[in-house]
Amino acid sequence: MKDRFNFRIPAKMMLFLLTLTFLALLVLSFFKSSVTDALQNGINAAIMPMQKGLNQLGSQIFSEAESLAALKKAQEENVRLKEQLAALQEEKSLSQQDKYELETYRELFKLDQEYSQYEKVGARVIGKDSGKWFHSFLIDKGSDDGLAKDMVVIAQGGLVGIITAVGPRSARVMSIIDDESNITAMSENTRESFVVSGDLELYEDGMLRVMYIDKESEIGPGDKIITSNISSVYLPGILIGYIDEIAVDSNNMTKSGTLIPVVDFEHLETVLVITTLKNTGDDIIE
Amino acid sequence: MVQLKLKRFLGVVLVIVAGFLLQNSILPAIRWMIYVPNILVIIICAFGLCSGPYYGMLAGVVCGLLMDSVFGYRIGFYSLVFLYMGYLNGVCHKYFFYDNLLIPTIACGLSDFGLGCYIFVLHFLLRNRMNFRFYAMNMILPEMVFTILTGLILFRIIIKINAKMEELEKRRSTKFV
Repeated sequence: MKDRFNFRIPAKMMLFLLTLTFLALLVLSFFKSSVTDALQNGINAAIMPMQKGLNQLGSQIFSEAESLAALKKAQEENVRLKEQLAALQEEKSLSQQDKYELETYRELFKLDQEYSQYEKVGARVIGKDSGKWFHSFLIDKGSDDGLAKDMVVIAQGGLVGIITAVGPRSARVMSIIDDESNITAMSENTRESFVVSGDLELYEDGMLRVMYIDKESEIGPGDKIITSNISSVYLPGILIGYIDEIAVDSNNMTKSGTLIPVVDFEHLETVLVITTLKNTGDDIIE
Repeated sequence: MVQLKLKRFLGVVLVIVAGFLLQNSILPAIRWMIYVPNILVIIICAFGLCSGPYYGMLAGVVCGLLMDSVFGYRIGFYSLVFLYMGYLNGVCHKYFFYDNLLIPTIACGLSDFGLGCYIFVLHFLLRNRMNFRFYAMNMILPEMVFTILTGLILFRIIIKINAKMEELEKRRSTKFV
């Protein structure tokens, strides 16, 4: 009884076998992902309901203490917001005139692609990759609710990210602030396309990187940046954020700089998923 | 004998699932938690050190599969690194004494640092993000400190659970032999 576990295979052999297994799975997932997807979905389905409940519990317990601290902040904010309201009311009357004009134009061009008209589904955030390396999170809706991979996720009036994996009752969203995220975007004024990509180093200051802007371009600080119509997955016209600063690159051909996103990624609780997928022109046959 | 092993296996899985939910569903919901300790690393270290390479590897594989299926992009990325983490901690089983938390603390710190470097190299360095200093100061080291501090509390709990399971196993085995 000296050997407590009575295993026949020595530990090193076991390590070697398991290593081979996982390497095989890793390779398999590149070529034939349906097998590994089934495994992932199975584990996901088991853990999902627990996550949903516990996440609500966690936020409930700590929201009490937070609400007291938030009260003082809210009072200050109230004063500021009242001023803002007055300005906005004036703006509203102006924009109402514009809206009437726009509607006539839109009817004229049958341009019904504004994102207010996309069909949307609301979802709760139920889990987050805890490390600071990756910015992906889980939502409590999945393929059963009509969600699919590559659907666009928005919140607070701006772009949040894109669905990278979907299970029957949950889905994983990669935020645009993730280091591996790249979006084709454009400036609302000049309509020039360029790339907005996530960068962990810049995100420490709450910013994203903008790259490959033409040197002659007139894009400058404060410009409104939206998703481009030529992006392969992102629907066009969704607000990403505002340009912070722009400078000419050392290659003297392009400009790059930083962008401030409109969404507060640290405090996401509910998001909207646009259930319309972008028409990528895959149906064209040569 | 099979039933006993199964019970121990289920015990390990239960502890891991609880830790996983704590790490990824409860703690991130708290707004002032900027850095979340890596509880899975603590659990793998604890099981490896307490019970040797087999249980270390078991804990590593379960943690890895969980992380891979919920947050990973490919099955195997976390599984592999956690498997080796469990094995290496298990090898250090012979240096481990129940009343001394120094070894677990060092092992846990090193493991988390290793995990950080693994992610940095495979996910960032390979995409031409060279600034290791930034990633070390902002991602790896803060998380390591938080993990070690949380580990000081969690180690005692996991060691107790593990001792209980071992005791149960021994009692049963003497009863039936």
